Amino acid sequence: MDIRAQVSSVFHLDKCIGCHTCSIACKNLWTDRRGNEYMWWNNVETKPGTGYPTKWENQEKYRGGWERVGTQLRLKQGGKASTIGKIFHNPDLPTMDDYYEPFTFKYADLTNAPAGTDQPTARPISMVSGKPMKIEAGPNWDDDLSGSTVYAANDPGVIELTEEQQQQLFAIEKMVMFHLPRICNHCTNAACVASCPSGAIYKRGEDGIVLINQDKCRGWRMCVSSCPYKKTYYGWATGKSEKCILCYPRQEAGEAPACFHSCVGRIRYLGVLLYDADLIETIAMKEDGELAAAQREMILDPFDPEVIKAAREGGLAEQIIEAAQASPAYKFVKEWGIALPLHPEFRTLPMLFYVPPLLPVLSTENQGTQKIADNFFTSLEQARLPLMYLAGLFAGGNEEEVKAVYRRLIAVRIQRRALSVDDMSDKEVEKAREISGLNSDALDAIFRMTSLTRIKERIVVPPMLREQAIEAGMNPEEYKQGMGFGSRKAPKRRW
Amino acid sequence: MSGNRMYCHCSAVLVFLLFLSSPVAAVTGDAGRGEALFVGKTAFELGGAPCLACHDLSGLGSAVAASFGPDLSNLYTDYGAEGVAGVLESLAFPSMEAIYASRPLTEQERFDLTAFFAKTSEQQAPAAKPLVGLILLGIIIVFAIVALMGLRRLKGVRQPLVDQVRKQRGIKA
Repeated sequence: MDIRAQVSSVFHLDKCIGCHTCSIACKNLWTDRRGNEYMWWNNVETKPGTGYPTKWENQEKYRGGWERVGTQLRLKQGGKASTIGKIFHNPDLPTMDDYYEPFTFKYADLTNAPAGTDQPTARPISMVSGKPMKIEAGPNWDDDLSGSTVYAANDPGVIELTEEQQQQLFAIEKMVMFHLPRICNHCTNAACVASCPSGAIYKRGEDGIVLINQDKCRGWRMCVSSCPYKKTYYGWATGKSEKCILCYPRQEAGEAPACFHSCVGRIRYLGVLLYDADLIETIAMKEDGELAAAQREMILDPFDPEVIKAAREGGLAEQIIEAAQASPAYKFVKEWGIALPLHPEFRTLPMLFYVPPLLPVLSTENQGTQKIADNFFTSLEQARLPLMYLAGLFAGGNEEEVKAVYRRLIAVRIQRRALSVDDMSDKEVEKAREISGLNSDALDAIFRMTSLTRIKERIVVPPMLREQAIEAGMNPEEYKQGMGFGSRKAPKRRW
Repeated sequence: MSGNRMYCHCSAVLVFLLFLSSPVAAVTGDAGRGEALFVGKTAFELGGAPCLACHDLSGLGSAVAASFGPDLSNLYTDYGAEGVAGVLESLAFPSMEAIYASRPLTEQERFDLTAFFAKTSEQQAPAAKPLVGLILLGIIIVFAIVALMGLRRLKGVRQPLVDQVRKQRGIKA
């Protein structure tokens, strides 16, 4: 057993209202620079939709993530020899148009335009060329438009559905959508790390945050194409790639990452997970449908004395183990089993988990009282979003995984309804518990964590123990004298 | 008279022919052996370096094109048989003297080489492809390979998607 700690997150999609506050907080903090205009380390997508960059989930086009070749895992974009072969002309990069051409408006014209008979207008101009342009795409293009015939209809997940399911999905008055906020998943088997020819990308040992060393990065952009989530970006002004850093400077100061902190819907949970790094390879080789479950297996119980013992032996600090015990991520993913990884079939073992959206069920057909427990559990197949679609997003196509989560989420609602509205029989509540496989306390804890907790319970930033991390590498006195502002240097090579 | 004149005429022609052919007749060299000496297949008897070590001669191919000394393709045309024989006898060029003063060519070798030069000047092989052409060809091949690899390049996802839907629905951009 090789126990490691990972700062992991859970996004509760039922609570996301798609306000993009997270995206703006992140943009203002980290990517509000020249050359980074198009980058959204955090973005919110409408599903069904093609996302940002367009159709990022389609790895036949973008060639991100891993694939199994015999008994081995290989990067889908090719092995080491192939990487060197195409090092000067990486053929799998998204074009600027696939992200979107960043734009602003010529606001000065509003006040400086010469007097005339028309109202002055602010024309859109490209932030790249500075010339007037026609805005045709954006990072959240077709936001809230689930019925869009271009973007929603061409969602790689929707295309997989049958004709009938597609029609059902886009039927008028039944149309359905939800929001999918995305940041870097800080994967345990990160494809970007494996693909970097300069060895500039690394996963921090103490907390599992994946970072790009800006001093080492040579801008080959292999990470851009190999990340299946398209969460590394090339900054054309610095000539280096950048990605979400999970606000590690904020975390080191005990603060929540900016997107977590600013989340209006309080959908974001953060905490440490302990996992067994020895299992990474075997788990990443499993069948698509088994990956989500296998990844849960990799995550260890921080209350188990054996795990604690092994963690101590592996050099994990006591505070980290305590943080893992208080971690909401552990509860969501393992204890309650209601959070699933996004696209586990990319085989990067992402460490950001999503509670799939349990969208409001239509009850127009039956105006009278419903036997909710009976009806809901038997009618999951007729859910507004086809289970197949959600299974394609969160479970590598395994519908049972999504069903299991839904049963638990519905059981929480039934138990709460029995308590607060008091219109359900005890028998029905008991049946709901039985089907969900969780006891009354667990269902109550899910309710509490989902709706009542304060920020310190939702976001348990572990003590980052920078002193120990520095000591491991160099004399702390020397660090203090020499590294005051970090090792900031201008890159030798500029474009 | 007529016979006498005829005799005179004939003898004049004969003398003229003799005069013309005398150096040629004197060169009883073997062009094949001359070539072997030139490229170094057969060593010079007294140990001189083969001509090819420094000189080029069209028709022998680019692979053996040395360029320390001048190209000898037009040697025979420029100097004639006597000139060539004279040059080969003394080899009185500063850079060659050092090599050949103590290792002169034998008479037979000189004849052979002259015959070889005479033969090559007659044949006058087509001018070798200039190096510039070869370089250009190389560049074109490299570009062709890169272009072929570029065919697999991701050429944009969003715009083709939008175009396709517009086409299906008959909407103009």
